[in-house]
Amino acid sequence: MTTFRRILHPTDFSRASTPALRRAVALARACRAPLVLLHVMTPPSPFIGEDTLPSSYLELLTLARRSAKRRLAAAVARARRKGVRVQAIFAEGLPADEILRAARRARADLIVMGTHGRTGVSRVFMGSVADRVVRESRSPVLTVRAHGR
Amino acid sequence: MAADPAAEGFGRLLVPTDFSAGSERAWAEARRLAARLGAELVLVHVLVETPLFSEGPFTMKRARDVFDASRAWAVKTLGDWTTTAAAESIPARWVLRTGVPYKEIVGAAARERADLIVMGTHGRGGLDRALLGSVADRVIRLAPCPVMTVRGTE
Repeated sequence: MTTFRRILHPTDFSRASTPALRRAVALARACRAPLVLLHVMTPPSPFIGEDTLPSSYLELLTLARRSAKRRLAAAVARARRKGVRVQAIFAEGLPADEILRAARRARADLIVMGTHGRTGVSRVFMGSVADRVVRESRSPVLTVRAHGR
Repeated sequence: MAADPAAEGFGRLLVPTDFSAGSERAWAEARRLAARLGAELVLVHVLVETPLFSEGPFTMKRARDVFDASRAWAVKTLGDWTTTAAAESIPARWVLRTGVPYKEIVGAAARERADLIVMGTHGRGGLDRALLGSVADRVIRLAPCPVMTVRGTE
């Protein structure tokens, strides 16, 4: 019986996304599906004042990009050691947009993502990415709370 | 060939249903997943006993009759749905609760020690098509386990 053919897991490398990664790996293994690890880097807005030259912004961006790609490669290596086929996607932009776009492009039929699971004011900021993905994704979305089981 | 459910950490899947088309899709998805994971399914429906118009000493019996009829229908439908899983050799049972849907679903997940909740994003409260259903939204925030939301066809 076929289930999921390709599982997308967006990661921000934080501890909050660790429980989600664990589930994504478990499901990829059970379904014998490749896991697509996605990291979305949101470039800082280029604030250019008198003291900030465009060249230093670009330098910062290059450093941030390099560091994010290195961490993504490390995450891929860790997941591979668990016996799962892994692909990596590096994207830049707004997380929810890029997650939905990557899911479509990679033809992922399941998205497994962490959510901070907070309530009240902070959830407006913290959980908004998962909120939008759950609302707009055509494929099923598995949300795993950061501090849940 | 099913994987070892204990090893994969998905032994029991809780599937809330309000018998809508969206829940039907979630039920189908849950069955596929349970078959693959070798997991057990627990179908849960929550009866909402809305205060009926002019409910009072003289009409209490009538209100009771309405609730009893909806309970009987729910029991029968839960049985039918459970049978579809059993026919696919998936262990399944159902639970019927009365109360506020999201609270009962979260409570059932804890009581049943569910490893995963599989539910539709939209149930019968169909006014807010653009928004995430309020039940799914609350369950995602409050559930003791991960939640898989399945979008209905549009």
